[in-house]
Amino acid sequence: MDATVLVVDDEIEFAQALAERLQLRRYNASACYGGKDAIEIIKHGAIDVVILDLMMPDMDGIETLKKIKEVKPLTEVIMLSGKATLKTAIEGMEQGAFEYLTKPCDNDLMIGKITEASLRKRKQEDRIRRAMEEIEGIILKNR
Amino acid sequence: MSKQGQYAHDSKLLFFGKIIASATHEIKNALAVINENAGLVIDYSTMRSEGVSPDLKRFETLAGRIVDQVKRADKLLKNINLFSHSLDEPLATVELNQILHLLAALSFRIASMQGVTIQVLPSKTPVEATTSPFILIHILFLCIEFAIQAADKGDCIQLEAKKTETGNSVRFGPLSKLEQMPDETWHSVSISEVLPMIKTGVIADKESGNIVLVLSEYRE
Repeated sequence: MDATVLVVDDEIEFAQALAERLQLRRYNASACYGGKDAIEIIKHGAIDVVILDLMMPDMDGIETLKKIKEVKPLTEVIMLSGKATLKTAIEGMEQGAFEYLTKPCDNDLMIGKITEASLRKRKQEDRIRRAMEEIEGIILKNR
Repeated sequence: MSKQGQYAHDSKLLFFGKIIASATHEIKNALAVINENAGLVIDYSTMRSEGVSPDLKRFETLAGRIVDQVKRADKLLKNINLFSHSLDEPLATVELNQILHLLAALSFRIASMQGVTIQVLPSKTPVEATTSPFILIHILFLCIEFAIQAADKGDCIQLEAKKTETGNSVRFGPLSKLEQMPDETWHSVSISEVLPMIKTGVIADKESGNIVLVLSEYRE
């Protein structure tokens, strides 16, 4: 699987270890440690899936999620938190998160969700590309 | 509010819940780091058994991280335990600097989420007070919570315990936004109902940007 994954968490050793584990599984994975940095990386790069911590000091997870969906709506976001409240999970899903997982997370479960998320992104991109091709075809036909 | 509602929203219970929620969230974070780094050890071990040889130094680094996080989680649990034991005696002699260190540790995550740090300034001599340990910790925590709101991102809130002629005092500051804080946030219901219980008072010195908790000698 060659999906590009960005791990966003202010716990540096957690983010680095998770990114490394994903790299060993052939993901193009990297880590950053705050919401603002994440937004910059996502704006200028092609990130398929973001693993996003909910509780970060500079910009919290929900705010970061909203910004990600503004700049790159097709990027899938998996929310990750040590906080076990249903309220934050619901809020994240309402803001367009793909999934909500709690820390510490089973690695097989995480990989499964990343695979599903990146497949969904690809399907969305294919749909948009086909729709654009159809529109272009109609325009050319009517000239 | 119904009796059940009042019971559930009792300020002591809310305080206890806040402390436990914050500390257990931190423990979860430590466990998450252990989980991922232990997973990396397993991944690299599997690679070795398949004939791929990762650098042995890597194992040392990963094991070191795991040990550090175990120490972190252990310290958090020790602090929760100390905090829980503050309920053991209704009246006891406590050393204020030790209490401040405990509270600084328990408030660390709450402060860092607001971009603020807490530092306990050392005293030349022990500063002892005879009081209700739990109520004192509750009041000190309410002061720290207020101080965090009245501080700017990047600020370091100093906690300083001193002996006075009539008892003891604890300073919280400097607080950059103290002057702008409306009085209602300071004279909140929770702190107003708790302060008189152990003969404490609070002074907000807007000029110096500090709040000072004044503890008089207390007997039940």
